[in-house]
Amino acid sequence: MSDVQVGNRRTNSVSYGRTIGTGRNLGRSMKNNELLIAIDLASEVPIYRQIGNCIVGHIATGKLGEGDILPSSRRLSSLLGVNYHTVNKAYEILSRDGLIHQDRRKKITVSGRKLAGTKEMDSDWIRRQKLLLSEAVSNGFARDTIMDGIEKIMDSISQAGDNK
Amino acid sequence: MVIFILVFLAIAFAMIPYLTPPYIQFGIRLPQSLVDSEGVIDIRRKYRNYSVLLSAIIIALFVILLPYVAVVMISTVPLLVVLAVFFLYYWFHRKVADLKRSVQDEHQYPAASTAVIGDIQENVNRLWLLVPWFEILIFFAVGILYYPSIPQTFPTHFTVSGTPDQYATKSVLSVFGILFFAGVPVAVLIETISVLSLRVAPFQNSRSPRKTAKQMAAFNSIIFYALLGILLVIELSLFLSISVTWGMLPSSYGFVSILPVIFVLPFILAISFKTGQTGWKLFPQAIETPSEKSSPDDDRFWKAGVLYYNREDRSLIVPKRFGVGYTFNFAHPVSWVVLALPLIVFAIVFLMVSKVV
Repeated sequence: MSDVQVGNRRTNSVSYGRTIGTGRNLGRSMKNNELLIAIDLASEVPIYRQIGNCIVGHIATGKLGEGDILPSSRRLSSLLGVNYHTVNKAYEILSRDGLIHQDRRKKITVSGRKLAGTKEMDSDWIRRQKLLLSEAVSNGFARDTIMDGIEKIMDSISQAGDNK
Repeated sequence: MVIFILVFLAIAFAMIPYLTPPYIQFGIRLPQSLVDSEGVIDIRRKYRNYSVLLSAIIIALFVILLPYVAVVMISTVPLLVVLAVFFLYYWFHRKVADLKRSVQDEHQYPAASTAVIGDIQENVNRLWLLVPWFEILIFFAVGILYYPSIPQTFPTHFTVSGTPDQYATKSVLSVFGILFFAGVPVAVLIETISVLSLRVAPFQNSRSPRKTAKQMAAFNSIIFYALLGILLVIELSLFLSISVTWGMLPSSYGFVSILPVIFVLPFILAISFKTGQTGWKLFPQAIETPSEKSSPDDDRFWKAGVLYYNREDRSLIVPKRFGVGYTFNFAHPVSWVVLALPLIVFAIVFLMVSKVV
């Protein structure tokens, strides 16, 4: 693998600012802190939603943490081969929800601000939770099945977080 | 000398389909069922053989006719060769397109687009960008030291046999003009490209996105250093030919100015074989479970498989589909400006020189 290491040291690499995860010697071995954003082009879910969902997922599992820098809209759109405005829209929604933060130099960081406990977030969360659960109940899901499902999802999120 | 360059180009050209990723062949994105399939392998082999044959004919014609029609050859032949070679490519491009159409229904995996973010990054030290500037400074320093020894009237152009046929009167402008107005812009241009190349996104490859991203990062880093190396050689070559006009080297040494450039060609070919376009040959031992998703079909943005024109894509530079290296997104206005730059530089140098003479 050393045959592709041209420089000896990574002194001034093109990174997304603070490196996500641990290492300084990355880009050399396959590690877990390479995050995948995958868009299903056949899906009915709009692309900007899918991008947002991927990032939220990575935040939930702890693969993206406070202060981690995300690629610019332009960069991510050329990596994904999707329109610049689509990525921008995804970032705007995440930013509005308080999950990421765009500073004056257009640098996009994961904010790590915990909104749980604030009035708006709490009421919004309860409203969404109610909607989703009502949908499940009206479709005939039993109470136990729903509770089980929630447990399992929570487990999978925290497990992924532990393995990072 | 010219024969050497022609042979090199012939080999490079015949091998291109072996250098581009197996899923991008003759400018076309192949569905998984066609990757390294017998049909494609057969087309590749035929292309290589025809290409070698065509090159052999061109080189033979060149050798036979050179003594008789040297002037005519030099002005019109390169254009004819480019056309012949393009049509050979295009013929095979069409064959692969037909092949793809015939299996189109068989690959119905949903298409996915993937991006890898995070720790994959280019492993370069940007301080190396300074090295060519040190080199240019040294050349200027040598020029300043040698300045008193340059004759009042010195030759600026030589015939093939090495006899001077154009002269200039000694002045700071006539002595350093070419170094300043050609050497410096070339360095700026190549360094700009080498820095921009670091951020070039890989081809979409949804089957193994992580490996592809990692290979591309390594490939971009290698190109960064290779471009700097080539720049050093170009500047050296420029300086050597200037030093012939200064009288530092005798005019019979005029050929040394081409030598460094000739050493670069095998170097480029060797790198291409080692990495493959976008680095697809790198890290063969890295294993990523291939996903069942297929990559989006982006053939429509590649005119004839070679010209990239995509308004939706804001990137200026993208990897070539047929060849090793990068090409412009011609939907990006800056690409036209950059293409015009060498012309502008040439025009300036031409004006300078004609004024001096």
